[in-house]
Amino acid sequence: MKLSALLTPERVLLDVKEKNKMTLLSLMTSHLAALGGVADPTVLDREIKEREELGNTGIGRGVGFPHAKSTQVKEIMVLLARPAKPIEYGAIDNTPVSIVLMIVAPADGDNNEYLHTMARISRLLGKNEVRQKILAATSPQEVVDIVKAFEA
Amino acid sequence: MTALATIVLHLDLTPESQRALQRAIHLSLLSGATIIAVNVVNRHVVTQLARTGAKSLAEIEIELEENGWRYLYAAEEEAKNAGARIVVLQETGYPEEVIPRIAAEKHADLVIVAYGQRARSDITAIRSAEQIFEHAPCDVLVVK
Repeated sequence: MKLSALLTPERVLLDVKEKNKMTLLSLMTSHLAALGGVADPTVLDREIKEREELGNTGIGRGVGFPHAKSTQVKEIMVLLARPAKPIEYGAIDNTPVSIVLMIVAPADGDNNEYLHTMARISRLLGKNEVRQKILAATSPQEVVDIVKAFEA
Repeated sequence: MTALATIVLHLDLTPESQRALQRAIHLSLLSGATIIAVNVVNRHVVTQLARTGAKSLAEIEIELEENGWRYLYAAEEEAKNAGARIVVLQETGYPEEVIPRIAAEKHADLVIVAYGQRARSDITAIRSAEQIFEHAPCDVLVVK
């Protein structure tokens, strides 16, 4: 599944004021829940953070990619956040994170689809040109359009 | 062997590398070490595949990158489900350069590599493995 099939302007948060990784993750799960489709946001928040505790999801080059399979959702959901200032994320390359893409998938869903979607997103956000355009975007719709253009 | 804090695991998408993952998870659970699982989009392989002419260089790289990430996330899921600590990393280059460099940068206590039948019959893979053994800054566990 392509990121552009999952990402809508409502699922893009620009210039988020949070300065702390864990509070940013909580904000993101709350926002996902507000959009609907999350049974219990508190449980989802805990699941995301438990996975994060077992291994940092900063994949380098300023990208955080928190992810989890959860009983709290029935379909794959994403949310992209761009902090107002890069935040310390503890990423593998020690680079502060400027783009955070959260993905959650049903615990009993198609694992291959989940892994394939994550792989596509990782490759997409690994491109310097994509990251630069997302960082320069002035609206959520522009971010969606950038993703669509690069996945076309 | 001293206490393990960091294990660099080279995942190369071979069946042996799946066994290497099992070893890494086992050692991580015993010691509390963090596994740094690394897939290298191998320029040797890209060049070899490009010579066949079946796909363009860009197509080959996209395929290898996506397969690599998928494999890494599957490994991550397996490790985390077992309760092991793991982070994943993908780089493009030559394994014989990337793996020792990451092991040095992350102060690894152990490098785990798969070295299966296919690798042992390919001169490029043999040289690559030998250089990893030679240049790793710590012990290397070879999974055959």
